[in-house]
Amino acid sequence: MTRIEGDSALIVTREKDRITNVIYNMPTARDFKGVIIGQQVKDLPKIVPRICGICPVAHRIGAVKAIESASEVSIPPVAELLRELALLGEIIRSHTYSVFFSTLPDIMYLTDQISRQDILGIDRTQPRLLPIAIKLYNCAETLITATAGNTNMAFNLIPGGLMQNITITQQQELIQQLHATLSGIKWTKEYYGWLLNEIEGEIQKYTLPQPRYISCFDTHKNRFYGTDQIEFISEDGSQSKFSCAEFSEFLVEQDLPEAPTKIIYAESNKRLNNLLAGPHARLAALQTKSTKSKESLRNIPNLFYSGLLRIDEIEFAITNAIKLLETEWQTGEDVSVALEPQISIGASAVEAPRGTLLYRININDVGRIEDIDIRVPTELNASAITLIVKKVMTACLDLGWSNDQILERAKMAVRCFDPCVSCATHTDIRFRD
Amino acid sequence: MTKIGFLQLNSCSGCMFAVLGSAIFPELLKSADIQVFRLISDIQSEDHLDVVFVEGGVTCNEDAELLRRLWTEGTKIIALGSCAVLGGIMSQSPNMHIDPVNKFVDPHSSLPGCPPPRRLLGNLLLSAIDGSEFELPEKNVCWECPFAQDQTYEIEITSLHSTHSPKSCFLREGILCLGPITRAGCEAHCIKGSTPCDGCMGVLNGNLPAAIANLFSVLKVSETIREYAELAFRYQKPELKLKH
Repeated sequence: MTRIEGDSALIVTREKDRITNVIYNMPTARDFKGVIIGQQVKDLPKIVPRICGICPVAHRIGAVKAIESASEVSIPPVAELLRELALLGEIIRSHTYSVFFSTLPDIMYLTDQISRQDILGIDRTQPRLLPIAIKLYNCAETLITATAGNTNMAFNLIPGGLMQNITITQQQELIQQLHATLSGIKWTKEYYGWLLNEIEGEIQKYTLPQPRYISCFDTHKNRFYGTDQIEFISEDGSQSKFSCAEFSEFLVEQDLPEAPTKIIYAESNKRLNNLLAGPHARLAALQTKSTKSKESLRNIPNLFYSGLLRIDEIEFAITNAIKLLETEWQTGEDVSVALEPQISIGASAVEAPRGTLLYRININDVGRIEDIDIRVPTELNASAITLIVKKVMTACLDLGWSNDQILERAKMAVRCFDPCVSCATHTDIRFRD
Repeated sequence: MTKIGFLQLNSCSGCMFAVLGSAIFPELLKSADIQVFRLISDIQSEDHLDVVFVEGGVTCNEDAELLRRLWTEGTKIIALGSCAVLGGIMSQSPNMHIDPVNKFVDPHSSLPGCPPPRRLLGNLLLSAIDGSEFELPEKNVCWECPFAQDQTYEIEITSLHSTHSPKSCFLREGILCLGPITRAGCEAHCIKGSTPCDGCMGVLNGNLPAAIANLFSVLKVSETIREYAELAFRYQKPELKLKH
């Protein structure tokens, strides 16, 4: 697989005119669980951002929220606000990569816009796009650096709150820089929508049958920072909630064959369980609260609309960051509370760019990590990935396409999920044998 | 045009995303012939590369063999980031073995850092385009630190973590900071952000156990924080280099 984060491969078994098996293989083990167990609790937030280079802020927030939950402390409102701003920066950066470097080349290729399926091919045909992508990416990194400390470690976000607040100068500069990106993302949205209309027949193959959505997006405050209640929307539209402290009871892990990662199923039905986390699930959660977004409901659950939803989320993140900085952010040095880890269990949920990220930690009597369970969105999406790939390949096979053509479409389907292989291979390799 | 490749071994992709965020990246796209960069392109040709940037540590024979082949073919190998240069955070795993790139080949140049510092990364990428030489600073982080004038080894070290913005050198505040033994180049970014240095740039002479021993021989470390190995060896295994 190319144009996704990390090292992965599709292994497909074809018997004559049938696709009999699909494995989304992620072969590289990364033993973060082994590294973490035994570490001091306060070191946990310093280690977990290294799980992933594209969503380190979400991992850092997952860890500090779990520690705060174990210690039963509440952080100052300004600390939560800056954490949300850091997450918004991460949403912009990650989705910019996914849209411009991963899925746009596929869609432009399908509409015969480009011959070379990457950002260079895009630049030769539509030179307006690369500068927009670079501007968004840089703006996102500035936002993350100002609020979280740096882009890869987010060291400003500590258990108990923040190390330091931003300054008024930083606030003004961020607002200015965020405003400057808005016209570009609005233009991209129109262009992307036009491209999708051009391939309406093609994208019908990518509709996921009866998905179930999972999200912790805070629909009251409109925040990716999340709530402790995980929302589960089943295939018939019914909603249920469970506490993030109980996630291991509701979400069952199963080893992915021949890979150091896992598929996560909802406990209710393990056999056919196309769980979907990420932009589609966040929109579904919002739509259960509002009747205003019914227009875009028709887009769900077609995977080719994921890119458009990501563009929507980039625009939302920019406008919401401006709003939070202008109206809710406050100066002051009261940005943290004292916290001393003790023997306990803590859990947390946060919306990473690809979906719900769950943490559960056990702290022992000497303030060290006794056990840790991290469930990442790519593992939540894993069963849906294999299901849609099989569906797309079967449809292409019925059209009499060549193996190369069929595989190309299968890879496009995987890219629609924007999988994060680094996150999905963080697991404890001791269980592999 | 220089034929360039970007290889990812066992890593988080953070260094590659730092490349995308580099100010020189748009120029790199147009001025170099990128033959392999899995994160952004389908083209994957590892043959006859002039320069290859390697992110991540080596955990399997296939990766080691690929590095050896590229090196034998005369490709300039550039180790990028703490994992490729030092082994990285995964070195602490009790269950798997990870090695830096220099265990298998002699890199043409190396840039550690988690992530690699922006200014140095720009210089490194530029060197791949125009053939200019890239050099790491031969000074320590204190040289770039705004609190260096307050440095002292006289205060007892009682904490491994800071919880507030420093008013002076972390060592003066009794908080362990690896700045004195760590290579400069990061512009003391973490320290300016109220976080003591944890050594992601590696030590100046490459001999981490010796540097740690030297530092701790002059520090007064409290009995309460004797378990500092996780911090001291966060990015590199404490392998002793013995002479026979």
